[in-house]
Amino acid sequence: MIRLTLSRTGVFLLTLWAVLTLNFLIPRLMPGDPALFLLGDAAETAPPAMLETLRARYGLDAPAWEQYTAYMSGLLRGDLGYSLARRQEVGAVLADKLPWTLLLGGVSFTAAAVLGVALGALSAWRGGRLEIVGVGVSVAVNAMPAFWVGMLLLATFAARPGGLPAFGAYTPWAGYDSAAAEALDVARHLILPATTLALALVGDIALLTHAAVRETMGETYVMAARGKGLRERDLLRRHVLRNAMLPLAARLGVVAGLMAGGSTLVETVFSYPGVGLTMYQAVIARDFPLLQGGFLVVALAVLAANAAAGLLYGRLDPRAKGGAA
Amino acid sequence: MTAQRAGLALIGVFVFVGMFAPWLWPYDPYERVADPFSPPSAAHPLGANDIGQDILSELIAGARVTLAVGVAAGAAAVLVGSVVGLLAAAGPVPLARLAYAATEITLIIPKLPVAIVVAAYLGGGVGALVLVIAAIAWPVTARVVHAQALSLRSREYVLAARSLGAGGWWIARQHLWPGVRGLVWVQFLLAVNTAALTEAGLSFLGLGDPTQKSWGVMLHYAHARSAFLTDAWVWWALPPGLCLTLFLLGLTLAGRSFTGRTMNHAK
Repeated sequence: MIRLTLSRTGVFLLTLWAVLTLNFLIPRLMPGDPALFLLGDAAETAPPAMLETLRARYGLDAPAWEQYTAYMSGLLRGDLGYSLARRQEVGAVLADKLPWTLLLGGVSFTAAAVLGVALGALSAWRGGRLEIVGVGVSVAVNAMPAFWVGMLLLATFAARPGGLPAFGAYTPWAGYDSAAAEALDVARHLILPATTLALALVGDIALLTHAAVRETMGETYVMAARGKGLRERDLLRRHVLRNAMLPLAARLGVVAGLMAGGSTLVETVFSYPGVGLTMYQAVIARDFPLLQGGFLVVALAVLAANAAAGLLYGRLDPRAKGGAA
Repeated sequence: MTAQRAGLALIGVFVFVGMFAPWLWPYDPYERVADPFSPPSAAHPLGANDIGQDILSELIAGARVTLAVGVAAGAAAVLVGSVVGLLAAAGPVPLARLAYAATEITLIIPKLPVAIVVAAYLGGGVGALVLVIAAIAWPVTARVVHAQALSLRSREYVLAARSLGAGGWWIARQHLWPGVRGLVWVQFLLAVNTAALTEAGLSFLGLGDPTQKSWGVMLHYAHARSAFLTDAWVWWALPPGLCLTLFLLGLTLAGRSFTGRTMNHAK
């Protein structure tokens, strides 16, 4: 039989290479001159000398292999290219935006994980009508497009006097009196986008937890634990949930991928100044170096989440370490 | 299986509306027939958009475009995914490894961001959309087909066929494909789901085809004209998203079983 299993590290390294190479190939494989793409909106008016400068700056007239090695060594030095539209290094623009995306993603994920696990576990554990309602709600929420939910929340909670802020991550030129005032302002701006992104994730997490808990409930060791008189709450927490967490941990990477797409849309709806909004603005401005830099940052973040999920899985499940069961 | 029936019924409604859209819409959705930003009236039950097109007619046209893009991209994704999955399970060794690695790698790369980048280079257009969506949606099918085909490969009748000298192609076609076929239908429903959602997301970001009325394109304009700041969101932003939600819900209900584990056993 053919041995087809790649090790986790192998897949990780291969994917890392694939992402970097894909990022290099996309502009060069697309119809059109890559140098014209670099100019974006200025392509029609730019003097030919400028095109030559750009070709030289990015080595676009060099053989493909040399371009590739130059691109890779540039990345190693942290050089993501130059955004002509913003007259700034792409790396500097993104370093400015990344903290906001991480804040939004972190808060949304935590909320979605707590809520989703609780909803999924309870509906499976209690059964009956609660299960039907719990699963029904999860399926329905899962079917709603995140950006639409965001628009509805905007209309309901932001579009009236005294409502929550409709855009941005903080009040510009607010001149805060204290750090607490600043934190409160940032939190108020975070509520709607974070709720939207959390809603986009919670259905998936709840359904997965539900399925896992249901499966674990039928195991003989659960029956044995119940037989020795363990309280239901301890049974759920110690014996059922811990095992039911495994498929969830295995799927964290997928959730991270969902978040990457979701945050792009949610940041756009709320004009939240993260990497996702920056990518949208880059699309509108035809600022391709910035767009690709944004993609690279997002893809690397998702890869990192996948690696972290693998490590977490190993910690949760002693069997995955390759030791004796 | 009442949930499954409900799902199929929902899909049926949208397929009907999509197929017969030109006979169902009260006005040509691509013509200006009312005052811009008109609120709902007897003549225009959902009012008019920013350039005076009838929103109810846009909504009906949206079923057609969303369905067409979803089905085309979903079918392409499932076709590619099935071939790659079978290759990974029964192809000649180097090809099988390549197919397997490509599947695992593509699964990890975040879908929407890569679609945004490629769509930005290709420019708007229905054809480009279908291509981009199919390119990100195939690995889910490939993984499921691969897993199922692997388990079939070691069944006795397949081993018997191989010991009689059957080649890989013959085994894939005669023995693996029939066993995988049942899964592919469910995968198709899931792929249409992914495709419709991705189309809506890309269109919302302004990367769709602005000459075609899809629900995502409608939401793009509703958001760009700040419909959420006025009462207009009720008749302009609410209906297209609701249609999309019901369509996706129909696909999910038809494609999965929630009483036990999900039928899509890819983890």
